[in-house]
Amino acid sequence: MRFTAPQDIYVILDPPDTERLDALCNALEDVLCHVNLTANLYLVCKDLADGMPRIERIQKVARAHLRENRCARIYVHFIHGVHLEKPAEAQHLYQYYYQGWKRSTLEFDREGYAHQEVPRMILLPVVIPDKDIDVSALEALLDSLKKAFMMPGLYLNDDTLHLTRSRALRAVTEKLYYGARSAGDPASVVFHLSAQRAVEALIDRLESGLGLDRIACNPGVVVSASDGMVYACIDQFLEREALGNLYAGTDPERLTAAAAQTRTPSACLACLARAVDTVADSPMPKDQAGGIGAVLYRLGTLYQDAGAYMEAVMKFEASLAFSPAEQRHAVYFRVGLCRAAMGDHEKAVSAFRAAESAYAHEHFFHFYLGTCYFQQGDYSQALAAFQAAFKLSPPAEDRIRIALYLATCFNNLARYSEAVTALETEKEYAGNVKELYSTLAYAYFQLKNHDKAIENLEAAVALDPDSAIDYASLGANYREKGEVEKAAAMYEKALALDPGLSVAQENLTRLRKPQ
Amino acid sequence: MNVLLIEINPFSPASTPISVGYIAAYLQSRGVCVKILAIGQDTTISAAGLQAFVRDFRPALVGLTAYQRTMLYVLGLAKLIKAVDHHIKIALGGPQATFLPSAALNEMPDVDYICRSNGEETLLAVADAICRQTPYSGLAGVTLRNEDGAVLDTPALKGAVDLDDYPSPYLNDIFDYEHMREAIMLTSRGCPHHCIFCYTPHAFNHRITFHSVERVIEEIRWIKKKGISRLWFADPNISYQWPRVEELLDRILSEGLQTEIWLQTRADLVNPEMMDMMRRAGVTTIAFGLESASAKVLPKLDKHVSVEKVARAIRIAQEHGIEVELFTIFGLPYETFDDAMATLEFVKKNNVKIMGNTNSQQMQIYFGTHMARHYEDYGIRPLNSRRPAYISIGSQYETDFMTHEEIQKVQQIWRANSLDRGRRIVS
Repeated sequence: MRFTAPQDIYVILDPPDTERLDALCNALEDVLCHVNLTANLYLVCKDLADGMPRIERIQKVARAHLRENRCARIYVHFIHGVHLEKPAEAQHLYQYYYQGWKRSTLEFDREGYAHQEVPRMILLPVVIPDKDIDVSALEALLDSLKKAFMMPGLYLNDDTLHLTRSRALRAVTEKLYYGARSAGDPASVVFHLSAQRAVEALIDRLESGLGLDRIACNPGVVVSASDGMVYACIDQFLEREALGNLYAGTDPERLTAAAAQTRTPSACLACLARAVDTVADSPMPKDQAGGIGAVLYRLGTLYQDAGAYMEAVMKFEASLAFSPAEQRHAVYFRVGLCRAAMGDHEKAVSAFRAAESAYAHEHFFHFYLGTCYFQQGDYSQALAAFQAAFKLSPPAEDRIRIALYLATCFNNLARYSEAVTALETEKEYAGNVKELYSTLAYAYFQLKNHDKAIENLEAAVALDPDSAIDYASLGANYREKGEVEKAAAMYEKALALDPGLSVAQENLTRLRKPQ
Repeated sequence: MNVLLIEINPFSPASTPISVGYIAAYLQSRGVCVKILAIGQDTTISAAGLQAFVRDFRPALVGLTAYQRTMLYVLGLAKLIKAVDHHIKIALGGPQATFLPSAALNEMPDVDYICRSNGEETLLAVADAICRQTPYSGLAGVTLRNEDGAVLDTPALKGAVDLDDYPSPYLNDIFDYEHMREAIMLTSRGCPHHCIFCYTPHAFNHRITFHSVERVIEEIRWIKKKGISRLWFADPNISYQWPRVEELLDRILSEGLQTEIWLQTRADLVNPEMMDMMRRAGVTTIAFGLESASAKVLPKLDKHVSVEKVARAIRIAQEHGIEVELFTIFGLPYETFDDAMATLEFVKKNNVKIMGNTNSQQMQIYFGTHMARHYEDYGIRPLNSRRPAYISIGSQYETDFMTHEEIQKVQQIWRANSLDRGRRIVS
């Protein structure tokens, strides 16, 4: 049984519109019944003074919902701007606004205490400080909030990032959010909050060892209080594809269904990737960006698995900025694989070389490097790489592939005897691989040992009786031995299997031409 | 007849509800149609969605697994279900229910039965009674309200002596394997010991019952076939009988059933030979109960394991490349702040990573434990005398040796030393 109720509700409360508040509250009553039993209610507005009366009104709805549904709980995040010029103002703000807000949850605090659990309604104020805020006043405010169990968060941007330099302020801040340069736009705040939340969920999954094999995005419903528009997820909010209008009577049940059904896996992956990029580009100090490098890397692997190599490379390269030195080799290696898959072998070689110190002991590393040189036609470098791979005792399933490339390099460098030596010993391990005999036969042909070439080509066609090119090669060897009839028969057989094989046709014509 | 079994824990991701699975398999084998709902932190279900589910399935009986920390949510679920149809009967089972004071039923108006005996037989009897339309007659193993509203305790009901008598939830495909990350298995139930803080020995009358090795192997084969590559043995002491474990490990090895395994046992029930076999069979982590490293405190817990034995067990496991987890508790009787710190130091000194289950927790005084019955004798002072009747002292206490503030400080210090911010897996 799978249930897919949205977990987060983002309500954009600006601009103030008291007339529509009742309609919004009525609609939220229904919405809360259709979101997850544990829900995050993000209430976003520009200003504390403007916002608090509306927050309290909405919270009344949330309280009624929790009273009715005792298996539900709500985290109320109130994101709002604050301006403080001196420490004394902090106490005033606390007493005038936050204290009453906190008092409204007393029944859940008591209930939680009696049941020895965290209360079912938790208040989480998130302050958006203005750029001229007095740091000690802000610290005093957050300290008061924390002492009253309202775990405070800070939403910072380029203008306010300097606040993180205050150790005292960091000590009283429960959570830091990072946003766009201008924090004045609540829609932008919602976007950045949701992006950070999505990235944290991804990091959490990675830390729990779950990996990102399933893109399981829990979409957040976005409600715009000004016009009543409801969006099933952040992606739809950004695209302005509203599900409906709460003020026009959209059925809240549609929200859950839509949230589960409207997105395709690739759209969700793209949305998550955008969230990761947003967080990676946020003004967050790099030393606090733990986990983002890992998420970017994992997203890269998802794109790589999906065959979207360019996107994968972009994610891998972005992850380098967040990855500690010891983890960068793995990133470079992946970049190399993607570049190779894209046919950009020159850049692939550069990436592999950057990963070399951590992968030099792995046979597959040298193999991939060798194939890049091989594709560029640099057979000497390719040969060196394949020889290095071979020396590392690759497992049986890889051994023959490496040997074949190795022998082909020898052949292309006209070192036919070495090709023969390399492949003859492989018969013991991979006697059923047709290509082994074909490649070996080519070397023998070049060495003019046509009997050995024929012996190997017969083994090849025994394994693959439909191989036209091997019959053509048999024809060539018989021709060189002067056995014209046999040669012609082989060319005919090749043409029967592949009438378009021009080399067979040309040789056959030449053989039948009167001397 | 339809029966719905729900396990809710909004504080951790949903895991395989193994005990509920056993009950489901048993009921199913007796012709009852059963569905299981495991609601965890990662389950996305709304109140409306839950009600719609109940309306569609139309259960006559809903069984709710109760733990101390989930009581609020369990009772919330009971209310929500009754709101859909007040004829649906609600039965409370699980660790919190076994020794719940009978009078607590008066404070749980939406609950019809408290199941105290073995879940399989007790819930089947309740289901049969509902089916006969005599829901409160002829029952055993439960506390209920009779027709007059009076609370009645019925006689206890005996469970099977041979665990193989219970159908396997795995072999009967009770669980949804698609979303299963690991299979939780019980090869035995119960514990014969007398640790004063523990619920298990009392719940099972200090007896231990077993599945045959053949049955366990059959389940492992099935689980592996379903693509699950991690087993979690939830037996309190899996190595209680060495020859049995030896046979089990031997079968795993000889049949090529090696897979990643987590298990727990007592530190005095391991030896190097066992560890060697465990390692080869796929055991990656073994958990031991240390509780306290204080030579003064540990003997008073009636656990009868010495700190030295635990240190030896850790060393043997680590020498065999098996990760060790240590269960520890603070806020124990006779334990001072310094004693609690000695436990932390022991864990560090023995190179056990402080994460997952090694994150220490405060002693919880649950209903049914020796400690709950005799807390005053141990200098335990409850802090909240006005708690609901269905909530035990739990962690709301201080002791003659540590104040509430000191206990909280110990918790903070453990958290500060934790590698994963104090996330426990087993509660």
